[in-house]
Amino acid sequence: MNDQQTALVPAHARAGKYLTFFLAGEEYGLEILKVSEIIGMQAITRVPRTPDFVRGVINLRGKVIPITDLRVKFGMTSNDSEESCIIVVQMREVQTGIVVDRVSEVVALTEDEIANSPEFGAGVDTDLLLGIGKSGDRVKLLLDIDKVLAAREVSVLTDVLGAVAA
Amino acid sequence: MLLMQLETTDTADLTELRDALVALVFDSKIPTTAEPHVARAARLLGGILDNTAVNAAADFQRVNDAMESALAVDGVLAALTPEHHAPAAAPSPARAHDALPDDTDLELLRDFLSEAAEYIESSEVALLALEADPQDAEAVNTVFRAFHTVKSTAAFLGLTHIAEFAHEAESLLSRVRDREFSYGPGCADLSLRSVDMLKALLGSVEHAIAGDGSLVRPEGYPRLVAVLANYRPDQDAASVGAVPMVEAGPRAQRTESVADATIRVRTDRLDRLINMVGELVIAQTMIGGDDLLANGLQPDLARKVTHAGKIVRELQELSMSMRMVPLRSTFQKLARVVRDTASKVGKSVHFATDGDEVEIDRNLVDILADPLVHMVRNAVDHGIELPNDRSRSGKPSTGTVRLSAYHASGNVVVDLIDDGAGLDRARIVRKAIEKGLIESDRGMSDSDVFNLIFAPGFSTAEKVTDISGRGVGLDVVRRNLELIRGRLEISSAPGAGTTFSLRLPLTLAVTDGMLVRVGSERFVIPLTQIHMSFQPEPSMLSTVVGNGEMVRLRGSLMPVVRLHRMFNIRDAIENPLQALLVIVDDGAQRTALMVDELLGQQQVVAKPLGEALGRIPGFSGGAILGDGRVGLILDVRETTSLTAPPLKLAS
Repeated sequence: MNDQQTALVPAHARAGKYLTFFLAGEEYGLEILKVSEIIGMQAITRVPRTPDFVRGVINLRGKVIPITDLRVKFGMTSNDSEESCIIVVQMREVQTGIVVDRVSEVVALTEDEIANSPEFGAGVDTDLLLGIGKSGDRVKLLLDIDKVLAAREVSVLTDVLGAVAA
Repeated sequence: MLLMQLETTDTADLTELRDALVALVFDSKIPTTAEPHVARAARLLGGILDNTAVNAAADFQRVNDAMESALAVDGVLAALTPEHHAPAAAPSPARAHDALPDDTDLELLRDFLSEAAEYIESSEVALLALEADPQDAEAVNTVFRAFHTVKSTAAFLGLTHIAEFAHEAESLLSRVRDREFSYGPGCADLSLRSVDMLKALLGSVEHAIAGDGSLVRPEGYPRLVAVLANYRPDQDAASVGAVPMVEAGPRAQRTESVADATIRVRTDRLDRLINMVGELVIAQTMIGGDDLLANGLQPDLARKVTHAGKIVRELQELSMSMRMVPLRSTFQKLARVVRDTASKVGKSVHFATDGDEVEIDRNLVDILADPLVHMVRNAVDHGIELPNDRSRSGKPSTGTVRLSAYHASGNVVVDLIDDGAGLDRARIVRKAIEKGLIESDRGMSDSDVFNLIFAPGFSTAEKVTDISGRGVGLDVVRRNLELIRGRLEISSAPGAGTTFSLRLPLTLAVTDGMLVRVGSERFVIPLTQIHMSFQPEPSMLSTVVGNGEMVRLRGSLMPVVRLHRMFNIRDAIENPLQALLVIVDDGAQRTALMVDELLGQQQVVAKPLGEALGRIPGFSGGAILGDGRVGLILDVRETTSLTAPPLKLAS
């Protein structure tokens, strides 16, 4: 699987490696091919007049890149801890950092292990998900990171997990 | 000797030669002893042209002999070489043996050569594609554009014969483009020969640069021009084939060697390199400032770090210089603007330049070019008076427009000086009141008044000409200059002329900034836009209904922008009497920005805030500060316009 396939036929090319991380106790997954690096938390310069989920900008080896706080983006309160870190995501030429609570592991998921995200009522943005990964005993929300970062408003994803577990 | 490359059938060239010879005799440009020979040659040529010659071929030989005899006379050669004979005789016998124009800029010429070589290469590829698919419109356009570009540049550089040739080649292609006929084998052959000819022509220029400046025309030049001009699609390939092949070999190779001496680098790569070096400098500064070195316990390490620092700084200078180009070519293009504008409005204007060797960032040149053209036009059109008016006021009837570039305190200054009528304060004030820009000029200094001419929609020209005075332009000039963080100052004395001073940063890569603190956040304000800073007294502050907080400084009233409020910073000083006011000038008005503290001056490398974030109003970008964190660079104009409604200049 490569980037191109993902773009062209997302429904059938979801199998592959995912970087998983935690946000408020839940596990999320992110296509490994989109990840360019993981860096520790560092001083973020706030940029006034931007949405709340934009934490600001950092200096990544001389490049200024924006940082999105995924907690805020998904309607939770920002809460940095010792383990918080920044995943630098590469979307085409553009780099963006996302703040997560803790990076977990890299898992390989087969197509069988990925379920389509359920259709839900209003308030839950399931179209931000590629699907739901089930490997081992944990459920992972596989994010369509391009859509997540392109969205201009706060999205609610937390209810998805409850519904999946039910 | 001169005629060797002409054929009896080259009527156009022969006519031109005959006329030139006649002119030589009539204008007494040559020693009298040579005149009979030249006159004889002219007469014989006339016979050949009129078809009255009994034996054209024999007469042709006699013309040749006559010219040889003429050339044998001392001084004739000198008279015929371009340095010595008058412009009237320029398109003369020398047509078969041109020379580079006297005032040629070799650098421009070299640029032209490498550029033209690229165009020709691409046109060759396109021509081959066209042969495979004669319907390929894109290929036709590529070739057409290539010929056209070579033509216009060659014409600009005074390489008339190259321009002429490219013109013919272009015409052929334009006929194909306009579907006058399709691209058949004959046409293909001819096009490729034209490309070879262009190569050979460029080779001759190359040769001329290296040698004595004389341009030798490649063999078969007139013939190919004639065939191109008279091409008919029904002409069979064989008759085209009769055109001699051009030997482009050794000369073309020399052209390549010039192109090899320089390589063209994509500017974005260069920009990245320069940015990275900028980062390296900051990283190096951080190492140098490390506690480990500061306590003086590591003299060895400190020495090594200092050494590395020197290398880094040298590297920075070198990388900066890679993007620097002299202002010369920018200035030279303006000479043309002056001449054209002057002749259009019936004025006599002398154009002079100083300091055209001063170098400036290549990126700035492109942005600077348009404002300069506009200002120079403006100076000729509005600044310089008509010759009669000048004579009446006791000035030489020829006006002077001078561009002068020099370095001043880390900036490049370009002065545009005219010795015209000067700015008329009363007229500007009248106009500004009429346009509703001001209510009165009370309290306005001369420079405040002069600055009004850059206000949008302002024009003092009594009549609108097609050159300038359309009421647009000067405000665009100012905007363009702001883009490159330049500043414009005007000084003028009635009757003695006007000086516009453009103050430009050396480069866009590095900005001189003032680092300010607001609460716990830091911002960079471009130094060029800071007028002054001070701590206000209670008596200076007032609140004007509808305009919010104002501060009065030396008689002028300006709005106060509380940065902490605008940027929603909670831990900043709220009381203006304890804070600092930084007066910034966005070109149109002055505003007082309220900050906690000035942290000092710093050179910063401006960077976009990341594409994912887009453009954030109020900030022009970010910069890596000395501690490795990002500081935001304030966009003064946007910051001030984000606040109060625009304020009229007079209170």
